[in-house]
Amino acid sequence: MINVVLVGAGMVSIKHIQAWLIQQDAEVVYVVDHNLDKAKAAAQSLGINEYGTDYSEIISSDDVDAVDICVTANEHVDVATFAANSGKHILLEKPISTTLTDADLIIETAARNDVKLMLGHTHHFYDYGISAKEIIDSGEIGNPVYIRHVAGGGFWPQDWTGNRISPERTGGNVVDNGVHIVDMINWWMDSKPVSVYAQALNPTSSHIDMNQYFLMTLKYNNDGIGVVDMSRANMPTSNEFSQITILGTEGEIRTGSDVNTQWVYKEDGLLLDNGGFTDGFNREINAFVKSIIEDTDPPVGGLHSKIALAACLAAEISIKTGSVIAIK
Amino acid sequence: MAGEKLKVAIFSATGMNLAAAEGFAKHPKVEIVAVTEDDGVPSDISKEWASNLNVPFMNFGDVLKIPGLQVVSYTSDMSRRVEIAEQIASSGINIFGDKPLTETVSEGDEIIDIVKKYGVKMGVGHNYRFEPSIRDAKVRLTNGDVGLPWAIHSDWIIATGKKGAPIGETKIHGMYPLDAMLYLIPEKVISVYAIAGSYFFDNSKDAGVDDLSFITMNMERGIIATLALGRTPHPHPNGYGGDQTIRIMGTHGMLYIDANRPSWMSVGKSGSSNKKYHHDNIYHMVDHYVNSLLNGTDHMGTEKDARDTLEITLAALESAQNNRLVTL
Repeated sequence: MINVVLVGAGMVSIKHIQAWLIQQDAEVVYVVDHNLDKAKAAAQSLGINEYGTDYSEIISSDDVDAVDICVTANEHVDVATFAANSGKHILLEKPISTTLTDADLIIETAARNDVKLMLGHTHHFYDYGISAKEIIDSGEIGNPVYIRHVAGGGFWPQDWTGNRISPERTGGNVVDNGVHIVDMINWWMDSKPVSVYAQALNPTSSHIDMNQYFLMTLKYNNDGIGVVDMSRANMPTSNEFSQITILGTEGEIRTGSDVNTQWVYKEDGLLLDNGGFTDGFNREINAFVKSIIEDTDPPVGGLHSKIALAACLAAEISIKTGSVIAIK
Repeated sequence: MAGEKLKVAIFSATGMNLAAAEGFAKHPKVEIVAVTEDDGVPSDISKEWASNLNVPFMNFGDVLKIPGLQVVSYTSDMSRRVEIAEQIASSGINIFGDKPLTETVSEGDEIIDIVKKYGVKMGVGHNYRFEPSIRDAKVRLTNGDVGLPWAIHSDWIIATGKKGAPIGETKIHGMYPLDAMLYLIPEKVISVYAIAGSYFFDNSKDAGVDDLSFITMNMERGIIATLALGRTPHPHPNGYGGDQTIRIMGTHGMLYIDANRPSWMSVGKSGSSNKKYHHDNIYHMVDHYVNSLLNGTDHMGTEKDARDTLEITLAALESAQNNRLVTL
């Protein structure tokens, strides 16, 4: 049995906990959070009574094999390098970090200590992501040359104190959320982005330091076009309009809101349910556990995540400067 | 005036001017009085069309002398656009012109000056803004149904193409969706960034022109606007002729237009297809122009609108060429 420490008991940890609970070969043995009450609640939901506010002692323990890191992005480098130097395998929430320097340090430390480093790019494991990749790899649509991913939603479920609108803690909206989609486009396009032009807006409130809408136009090494159109400013907030278009040299595939599996007309509007978002976290954590047991490379490693981060950091510069930015 | 018919002559019954000519021909308040053709251009098609309508095919100079002639609807080689417009306007006759307006922005400005100098009215064949769904959307926007728009996104990708447009898809079709976007949100475009290339057709590659482009713009009031534009060799998955959509994000809602709807999805002896109904935008465009002349009212879809879309189109191509933002 692989013993896991969960560090960070915020919003995303709830999804991780649900996935850990159904693992056969691994279990969470301890929960850490700055907030002791949150750590306790998370531990209880896991059916354990082991929790605290300090990660160093428990991660150092010989009884621990792996660490699942769900703290805010600006804390990733400290926890991840500590875990790596303690010889523990790492499942790290996205983005890998908020700077490329930290990303390099995390990747280098994990490699030096010969531990697994897997990044929590969950969309990689959703049905929609996997099935698109399968169609592309089958050669059915030729080479992808244009991929646009529109992902919309209402404002984050939080108030002024929440992490999600803090660029210091998250790295900004593009880094925190756009990295999901850039990762997907990189994966589907099977190429690296070489430049980006990005635009952003604050439709909800000009007092928020972090944009709630951004648009990234990416130019790829294979001359492909990638577009990330991401909103957390949709009104009404229930409007989760999505649209994915992948044009290939010999065909195309599309999905989005208009192919939802359920349409429910309610008194307060239309409820759409897209069946393509099931099992992502379960598959992600399965893949992490499997890579430890079989001693194989995890499917989404540090370098992969760093490439997506580099594009997002370049986009943040583009938004500030209004220029096209080359991606390092 | 009641019962009065507008006397219209057709200069070259070819291409999109043929579509406009047919719109004029079936209009109850229009009388086609003559058909003509540019010097050096084979006139068989225009002659045949004149014969079908039982109207004379005449020399251009003689057409301009027809008593009471009020409109010449024309298309020509791009190099002759300005010259022909001046010949028509200087005879005191109104102009209905094919798109693109001209080859260059400075030529577009020349036509604006000509129209002003001779006090005539010019309409340009940007028929997409006359699509019923787009006219309806304009009313909704004006009524504030989605609040204040902060982003507008349009797709214009033609499916099942045999080959790319000789001058590139951006130049040949960009004005349609751009004109509709500026009609819906009449704010000035400040800057443009685009990626364009020849991805699908050998003739586009050989000519060094685009068959797909993604254009993103910054408009006044901070509005972000994008246009995905092109032609693919494969069918649209839904059996449409292609994408003709516009999505507008507002402070209080979202408006989505699919100009391929309403439609019947069908399957029969000839396979599956999608048949649009409730749209005849070319006739609506002609009707609007005819009524503006007969009633002395303002019209839209003018030479100034056409000049603005031309400027954006050329800026997009310049941006794509140099991978940088172009300020207008």
